[in-house]
Amino acid sequence: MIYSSQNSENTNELIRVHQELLDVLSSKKVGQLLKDFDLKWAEKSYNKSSKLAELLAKFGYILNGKVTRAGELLLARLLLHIDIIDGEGLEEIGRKYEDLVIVAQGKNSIVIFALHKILKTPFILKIIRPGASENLEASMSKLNQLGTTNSIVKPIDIFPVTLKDGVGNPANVMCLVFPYIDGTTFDQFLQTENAYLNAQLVMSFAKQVGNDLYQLEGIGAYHGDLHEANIIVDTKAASEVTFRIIDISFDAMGSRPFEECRNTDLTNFKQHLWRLLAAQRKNVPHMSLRKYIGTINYLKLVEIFSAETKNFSDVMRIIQGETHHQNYISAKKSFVDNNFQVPKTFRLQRYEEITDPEVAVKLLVPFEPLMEKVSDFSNVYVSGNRGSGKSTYLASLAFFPGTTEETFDFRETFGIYFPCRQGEFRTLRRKSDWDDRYSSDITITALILKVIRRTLELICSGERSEKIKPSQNTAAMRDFVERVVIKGPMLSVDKKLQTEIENLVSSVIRAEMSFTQNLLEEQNSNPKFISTSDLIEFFHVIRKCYEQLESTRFHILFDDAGSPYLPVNIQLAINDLILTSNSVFCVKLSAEKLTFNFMSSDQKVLENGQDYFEHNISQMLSTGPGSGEIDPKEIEKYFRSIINVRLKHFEYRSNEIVDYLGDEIISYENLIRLLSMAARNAYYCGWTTIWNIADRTPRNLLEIVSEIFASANVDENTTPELIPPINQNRAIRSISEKRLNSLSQIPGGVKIGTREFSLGRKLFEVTSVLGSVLRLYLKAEKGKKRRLQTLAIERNDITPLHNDAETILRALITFGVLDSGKLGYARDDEVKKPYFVLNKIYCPAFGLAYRRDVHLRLSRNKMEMLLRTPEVFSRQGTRRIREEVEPPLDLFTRRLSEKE
Amino acid sequence: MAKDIVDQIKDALDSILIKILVFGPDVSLISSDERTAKLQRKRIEIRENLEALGHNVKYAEELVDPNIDGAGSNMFFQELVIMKEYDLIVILLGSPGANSEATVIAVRPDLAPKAALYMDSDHQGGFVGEACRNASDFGAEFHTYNYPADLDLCHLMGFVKNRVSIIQKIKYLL
Repeated sequence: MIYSSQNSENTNELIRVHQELLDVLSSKKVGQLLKDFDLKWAEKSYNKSSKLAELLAKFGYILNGKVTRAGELLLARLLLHIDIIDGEGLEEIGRKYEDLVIVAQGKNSIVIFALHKILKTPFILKIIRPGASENLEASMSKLNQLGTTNSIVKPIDIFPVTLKDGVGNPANVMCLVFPYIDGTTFDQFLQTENAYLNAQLVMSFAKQVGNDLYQLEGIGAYHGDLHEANIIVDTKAASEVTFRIIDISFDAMGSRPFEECRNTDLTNFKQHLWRLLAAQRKNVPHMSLRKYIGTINYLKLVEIFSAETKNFSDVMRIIQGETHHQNYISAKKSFVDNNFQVPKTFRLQRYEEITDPEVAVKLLVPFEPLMEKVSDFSNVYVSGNRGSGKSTYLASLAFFPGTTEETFDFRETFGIYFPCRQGEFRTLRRKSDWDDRYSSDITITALILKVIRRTLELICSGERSEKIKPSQNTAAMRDFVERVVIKGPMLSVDKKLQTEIENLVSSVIRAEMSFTQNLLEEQNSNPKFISTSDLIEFFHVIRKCYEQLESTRFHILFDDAGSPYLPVNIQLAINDLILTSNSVFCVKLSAEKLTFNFMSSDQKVLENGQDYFEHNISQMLSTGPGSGEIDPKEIEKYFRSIINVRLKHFEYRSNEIVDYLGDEIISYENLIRLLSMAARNAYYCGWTTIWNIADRTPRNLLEIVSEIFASANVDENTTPELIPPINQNRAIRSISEKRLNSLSQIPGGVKIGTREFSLGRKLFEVTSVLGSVLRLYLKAEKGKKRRLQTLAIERNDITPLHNDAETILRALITFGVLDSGKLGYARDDEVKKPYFVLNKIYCPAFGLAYRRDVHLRLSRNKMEMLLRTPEVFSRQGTRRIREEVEPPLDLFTRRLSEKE
Repeated sequence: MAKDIVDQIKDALDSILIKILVFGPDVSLISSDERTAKLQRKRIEIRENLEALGHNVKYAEELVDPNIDGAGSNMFFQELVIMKEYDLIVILLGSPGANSEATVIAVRPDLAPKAALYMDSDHQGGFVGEACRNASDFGAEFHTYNYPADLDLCHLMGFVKNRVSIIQKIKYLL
């Protein structure tokens, strides 16, 4: 349905001025008036004494006795009507065409659908009313100047037709013949579901239609009637969606001035762009258009919409030119490149902090025995203390399109990495009104959508960086995305605007956004689910489409997959993926201890060693008594290489850390002796002490070395020489204190009895009391020949702890204060059970030595006292040892023991 | 049998379809107040009747987009932009919103010439009545009607249809 587009701002004024004329022309007398007027079209003569002649003269349609062009058009609108049933006056048309159907009888023309009698092909015939055109033949010749690439549908023939008017007089009119273009009108297209998944569509429209109208403008023509039904959208074209402009009305717009007609084209063009944006916006109501279509495109459109854009030459200049934003980006890049150097930070501690994956790959020093296990094609849970490098191991498997070096060949291992800490999955948290089945289906769908989207993004970036050769046949991928992901046809645009893989990525992003948005707005009354078998099919399709990936295996990597970064329902969905035993993808995840729930959505508990393999980094790197797995020398060598690789990368004068830190400056035996005496010169220094204090945690090691370098002003230009032990000691103790203090910053609460406590504060208190107690034990070793360091807690019974105490114990393990990775035979009951070792990074803060010689043996009551009421434990639980180390004082400040 | 020339002209005029905005009391919930309810029903009836004739009839409240951010988020400005796009603005005065819209039109020479304002004759002495007369000076069509007769007897519907018919003639013939 097309609504009149003529400017209607002065409607009431026009009515007021033309009231008399309008009343007469729409009255029942009009037939008789026209008969009396007796217009002879060929001669333009009429009955000058008729009443209508007087009226038309009054309103300027007859001037100096002659019917003006506007008058001729007015009379044509009144007198020329075609009745197909009657067929009178259509004999000339009927010689060549048949099966005529009137499409529209408009103000300036009558449009007829017809079949060619011999060819049987459809055509559109457009009969131009007298007065509508100034010089139709000349104008049509002008249109022939348009190039063949122009998608405006031009007339292919023009011939005269004689019609009989409403009072029986013959009228010679011109008939234009256009090829019939079948397809969806722009209006229908805008109402089609799923038609707007392509973010580049609006730019494709602007470019195609803008260019056609620009060429039209270039030959001094216009369209004149660019409404939404006159743009045909071909979505079935093999290469891209195309827009064809039909029903050109150049020089057939009656008395409307040329400029007005051309301006109407521009106004309509801008409105169509806006309609397209508005339709796209409906699918992503909570995302700005700027974000969706990209800043560069957005700014171009804003410029097109502005009043400063007065013609199609301006439109094309904007589309083809660089925007202010692009100029800004290139100027900014140039400024940054010229004025700043890439920061050289020694302490690259979190994988996500490394902004340049290229550097990350170079600095990665995996522990080979562990790397082999992690990289195997199997479901893996990488665990370990905080900072032990879980993320690094996982990320080293990921495919980074921009890097020239790789840890693994993507032709064999294609890692799809999700840094869950960044919050991508939080919005998918289960809602209270979802039942179990619905939650399971909807969550797995959302998860798989993310995996598909991320995989396609990686491949797309890989194509851009020329690491992956573009696929020659993307039909299978397209079919999959249309069938499984967007459940409808996908549109393509000009390949220069958007390649097929970019289009696939864009479409899947939109589908994912739409799905997630509906989840948030609870609109998913009938959601379209995707299953794990679809994901397997997807990876097979990728293998089929990309030659380099035909034998690769996909590793889906979830880093920091525990709570609170991943809601529990997402954890269940990941477990569902783990249980999908197949030959094309596997799942690997890292998580803090006790934060990931290994249970599927069907409540099946996943078994370590069966459904997945847990590899605990800290446990593997353990050097304490009874570890017996790896030679400590190997571990020392590994930690040294972590530092030395960085020294080399950042171009330090020496690539050997021992040149800076020395080794065995103070032997361990001397250190523990000095610590037991609380001597001021009990310095933590030297390489062996430092890597031991780091407690199998590369992040700790890097932080300590970095702090030592900073405190001693050592940089890449410094001559390698021993950093004074006092400086090393200060830096190490500073890091240790910082770690201890940071415990109180841990968010959350914990309930003990009926009272709520800050979790962080409670962990700090327990750690502080434990460290202080262990210090007392060390002081008790003073004067002994062989001093032993108590550094772990051992339960002397097996009765379960109170819930509150258990919660705090689990938190101490999760946040890396205690390590429970080892089992041992308890000295009191000879039962094998886990013992809890204090993280050695806290040793300097309490003045402890770093070797675990003996354990603090606690009963259930004492253990609960330590965990629930550490302040009580520090008084009551350690009375004996305190009295041994520091006997109570009497009134005269003399030791009671001395009195005795 | 061929149609008479008068019928052919009438058909041609009827084929001109226009875009119409109908302002008035919100129709999402019919009010318990009798006067408001009658106006609500009339607003619905006007839309239904004109849509049956093929015209594009809208309520402004269904066109404003609450999700537009920035300066465009203001409903008032959005309505101004929307009104510019329509051929005829029909306002049934009597509700706070419609009164505000009429007042806006009264100071907009670009909108007034395509507006048709309909007011209860008992209310024309007030501020809104003055605003309507001001709109009329700018070219708006201002009518008063007798409550409840003109609503009950569909005279108001007739006024609106007549206005639409005249606009069709203007658009076809001029």
